[in-house]
Amino acid sequence: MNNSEDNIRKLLEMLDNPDAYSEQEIRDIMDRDEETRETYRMMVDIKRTSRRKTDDRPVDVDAAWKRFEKAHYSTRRHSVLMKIAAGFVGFLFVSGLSFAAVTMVRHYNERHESEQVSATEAVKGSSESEMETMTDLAPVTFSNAPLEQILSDMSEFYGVTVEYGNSDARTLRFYYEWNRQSDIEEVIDDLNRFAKLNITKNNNKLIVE
Amino acid sequence: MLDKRLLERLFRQNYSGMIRLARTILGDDGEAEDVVQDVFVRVMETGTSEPTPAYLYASVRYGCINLIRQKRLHEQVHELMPVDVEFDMQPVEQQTDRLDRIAAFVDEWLKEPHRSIFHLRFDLDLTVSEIAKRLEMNPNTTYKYLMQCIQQIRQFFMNADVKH
Repeated sequence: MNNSEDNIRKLLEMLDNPDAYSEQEIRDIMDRDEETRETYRMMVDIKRTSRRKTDDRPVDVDAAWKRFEKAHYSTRRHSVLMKIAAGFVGFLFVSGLSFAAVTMVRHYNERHESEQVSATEAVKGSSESEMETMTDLAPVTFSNAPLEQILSDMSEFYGVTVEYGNSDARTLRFYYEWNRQSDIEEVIDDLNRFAKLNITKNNNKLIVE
Repeated sequence: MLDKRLLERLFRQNYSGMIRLARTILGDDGEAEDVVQDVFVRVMETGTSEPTPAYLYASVRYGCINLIRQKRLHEQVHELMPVDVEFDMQPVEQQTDRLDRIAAFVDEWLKEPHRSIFHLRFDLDLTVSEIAKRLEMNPNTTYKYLMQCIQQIRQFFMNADVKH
């Protein structure tokens, strides 16, 4: 058995019982040579093929939508119902007051209505600007994009500069979904999870090692 | 906030494919549903326009990768999940096509006893010693056949890549 076959044999033995190995031992086995790494990658694809082939159960989209609706819309409906209930309690309270009080309320309501018109306009204006902000902050997906392009877009957005300690890093390609509501530190932490990347931030400068 | 009717339409049109992709990557129905529902929550909360199916599928895969990263290394390798982040770089469509080609290769070219060993290892998750016992085969020979299965598929893709 040559070295490469021996390494792959060790990989297969480890995969049969990973709990018998420490984390370091697993990494050592998997990183022994390119053949071993490629064999594991192929096994990941083969396992996915098997899952895909054997997943012939029908998908109940209707039930899934109902679960989604219940989880994410019922709380909103609940808060609307609470508002209606609060309004109803308020109404009972007002109806117990004297005619004079009702008259005062009517005067107040007339004044309040005119205030409400301007308040509604203000809310409309603010929701329009919120919509614009949301569009500005929509997530951006980089698909197989060079690092140089990713960091160029980010540096413009966050107002920082980029310095490359290692020029080769410019052409590394990544898939990354950029949530622009995250601050720059969170985004750097995220990017540094890629094995080949090490980005640090020094004041307003990003340094790529 | 995306309009509820639009979101429901997107959900009904794409959910099946998205959940199958998540199940393929994760192999766990509960986790797969969590990932897909999270994608729709993000679309609902931050989406101001209708996302494309490509965006939805890429988001599912990204969600799966993030979930896998949070698992212990032992669990990752036990479930045959990717341990390096560069693994899922291909567009989703190309990757799905690759899985279909692996399935076609196995159906067409893998002969006995490789085919049975392959099925027991990857479809039924048996260990090599369990396979050897079931097929009344020497464990060393079983390892050898399993390695040959994987090598044959790798070779097929290497040849295909050279042709392209």
